[in-house]
Amino acid sequence: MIIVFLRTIIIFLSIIVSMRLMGKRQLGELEPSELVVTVLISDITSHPLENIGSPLLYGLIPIFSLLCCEILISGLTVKSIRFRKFICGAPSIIIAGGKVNQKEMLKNRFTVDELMEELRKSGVMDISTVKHAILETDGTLSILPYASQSPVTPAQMALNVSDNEYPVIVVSDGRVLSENLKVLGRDEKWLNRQLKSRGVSSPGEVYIMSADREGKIYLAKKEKGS
Amino acid sequence: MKKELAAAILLGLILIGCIINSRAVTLLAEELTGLVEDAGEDAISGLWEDAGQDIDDAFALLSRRGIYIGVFLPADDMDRIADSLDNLREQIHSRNAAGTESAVHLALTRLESIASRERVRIGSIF
Repeated sequence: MIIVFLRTIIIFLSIIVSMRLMGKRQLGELEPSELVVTVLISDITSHPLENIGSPLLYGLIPIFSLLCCEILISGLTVKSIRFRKFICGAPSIIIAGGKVNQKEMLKNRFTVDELMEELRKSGVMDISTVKHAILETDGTLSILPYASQSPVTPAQMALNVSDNEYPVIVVSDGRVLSENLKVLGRDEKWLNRQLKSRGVSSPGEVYIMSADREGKIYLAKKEKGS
Repeated sequence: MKKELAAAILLGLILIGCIINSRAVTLLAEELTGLVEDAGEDAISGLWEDAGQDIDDAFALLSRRGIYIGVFLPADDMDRIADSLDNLREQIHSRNAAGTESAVHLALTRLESIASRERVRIGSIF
């Protein structure tokens, strides 16, 4: 039994390392090659876990071989446009100038129902308000509505608005995140002053506290018993 | 590009490791096959003591390569080979010529299956 446990831990760590090395994109939208690697890894790893008689290397070698292939393919897709087009495909313009491109729909085996579903997911109920719709290589639909249907921006209304600063978490579940304080150009003295002014004696009483460069602070105390 | 270079190097190392493993499996199978064949020939010639020694050498070889076998080869296959060698040893100890002949044949067949597994051929790949 201990062998199964150890093998599981080794395989688990190997997959975590593989996924981490493949990058963040792997965890979000998958390109075809990434999907293949993910599906293969999940299937391959189950065999050495189920069968103790099978060497663990029979699971580890495919994982690391796939990892290397994926990294090499990702590297090549960054370097070569032609290779990227071959591996990832190219985006398809499904709606151009308000007109549905039926040839592209057929080519991508994209049905009218799927098109409407994707539009609805993007908050578009009326297809006539869409000027351009592009089917991306990861299967998502990017939509550009007609200008008359687009939300008004402050720039269009000639409004003078200041840019929002990016708030960062400075206390998380009672722990002070010193690195984030440094990002804000603050220190723990400043933090303690802010806490004191809000009736909090120590960071240990804070569940979450965020702050931005403009000094805007959000603070939530820990609930009793949590 | 450092990551890609590291991936290419790791892929190369895995490939080299696989080739070395293939060679090591073939070598192990050849050595065991030689000892089993010698045991069979000695048994046919009536040299039962020598045949017994050959099988003991085969077991000693398996024991020496224990770690390698444990890490790189499927346990089921190696158990089957050890069983066939054990059977051969029993036949030799009981000085059963016909039984020894069939036991030699069985052991050689199983050794061949191990050796052929790592041989790169169109058939073995597909």
